[in-house]
Amino acid sequence: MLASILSPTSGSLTMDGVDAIQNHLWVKERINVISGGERNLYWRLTARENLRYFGSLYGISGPRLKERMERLLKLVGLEEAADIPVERYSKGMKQRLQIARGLINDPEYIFLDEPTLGLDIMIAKEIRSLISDLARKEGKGILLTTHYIREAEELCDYIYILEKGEMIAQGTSDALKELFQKSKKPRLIVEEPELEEALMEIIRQARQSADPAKQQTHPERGIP
Amino acid sequence: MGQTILSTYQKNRIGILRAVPWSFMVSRIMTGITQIIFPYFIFRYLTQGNLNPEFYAYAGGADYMTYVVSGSALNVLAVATLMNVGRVLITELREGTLEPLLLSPAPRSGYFLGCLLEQTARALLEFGTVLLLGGLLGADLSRLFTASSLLVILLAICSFFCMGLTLSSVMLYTRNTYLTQNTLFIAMSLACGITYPIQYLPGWVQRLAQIFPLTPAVTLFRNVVTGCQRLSQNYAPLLQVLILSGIYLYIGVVWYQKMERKLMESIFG
Repeated sequence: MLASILSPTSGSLTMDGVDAIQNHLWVKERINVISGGERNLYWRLTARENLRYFGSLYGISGPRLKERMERLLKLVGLEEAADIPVERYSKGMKQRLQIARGLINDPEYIFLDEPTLGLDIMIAKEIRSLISDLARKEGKGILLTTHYIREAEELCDYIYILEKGEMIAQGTSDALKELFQKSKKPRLIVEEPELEEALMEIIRQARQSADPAKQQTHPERGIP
Repeated sequence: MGQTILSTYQKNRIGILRAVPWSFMVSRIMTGITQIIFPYFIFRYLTQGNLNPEFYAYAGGADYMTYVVSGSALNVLAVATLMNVGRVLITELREGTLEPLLLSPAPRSGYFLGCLLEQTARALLEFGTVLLLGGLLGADLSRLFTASSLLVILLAICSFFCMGLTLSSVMLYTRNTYLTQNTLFIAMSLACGITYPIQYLPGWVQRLAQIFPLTPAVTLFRNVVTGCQRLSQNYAPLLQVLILSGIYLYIGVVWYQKMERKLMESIFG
């Protein structure tokens, strides 16, 4: 409903004060959806062809489209693979192309539906970093749905918790923790390194020792 | 609109060429050949070229091969247009690309026209094969390349496109392609006068056949190509094609525009 694909049976929906139900075309020009998984891309087309097609659906053409395509391919680290059909991409590459596709119209608001679903921890970390930059550096409004609590904690300024279609809690990460702590007795917590952090460090060190020459770019933006 | 048409054409063309690079050409040509070769064998070897006088009366004086070739050629265009335009949305759904397409502000009419343009370019290969082989087997197509006949072909393609829009919504709603399209194609090939005059059929079948644009389109095509008639002498079938096109266009486009979001609810909900 928020992405203007489905019609609500009741209620109202506005975006920047505009009735989003009546003006769904106006809304569509300003939003995009990035899903987890391997769908939403034409597998027989290359990354460049996918972006060209989706860009044209938003009325972008000519040098403006070309410039945007190249910038997005660079942003997601797919310049070298841009002319390979998507069917030959790894899962991580497809997800990165999905992000590029979702940014082709330079949306003001982006809906991210489990964008790191099924990805290995290095690529997931890279994509979370990208998402964070989109929100904090480019000022995009992002609605993220995820089942990974750490992801929500890392990325989200405000969290809504849904259970069986009903919202049962909302707030900042700290407010939700405080909500939890208020109902519990104080307890001593011993912190130890998170397994995810430990694994990432192990993988990073293994790659560095395997080929020190390749580890020149920002480690979070390296192509696996 | 123009940009959507062109980009959809390019996207579909690239996709089909990568999916079946050479076999698609062969399959199109072979389909065209089989459309003609079977009736020819039946006519030449089974009936020994003999037909009763009724046939010539019903066929407006055309010989059998000319009759069959003109019907089969238009049938090929009808099937190709209906199948490819009808299946576009359900194919997008199955490939997982329907959502980003519906999310975009691109005009749906532009998308469908782009699909029509691409598949017509393919269908013309088959159409040409049927005519070429038919000509080699004795069909009289000397008046094929007149302004009237080309206009009839264009009108026929438009009418099949309009019906294809309705078929697209039916397929999407039922989430079925095989049963839907093949039922339609069998009905059309039996009832629309492709390889034999519909006057041989029961009255109720003849009346039912009038709901398919192919029926008046084939009549129009034969009258113009083999009967040496002008379009102005064929107001009845011409009007019928236009009215049917309008009806299917209304059902297909207007209904789809209102139902698109509710259709998505039944699919994504």
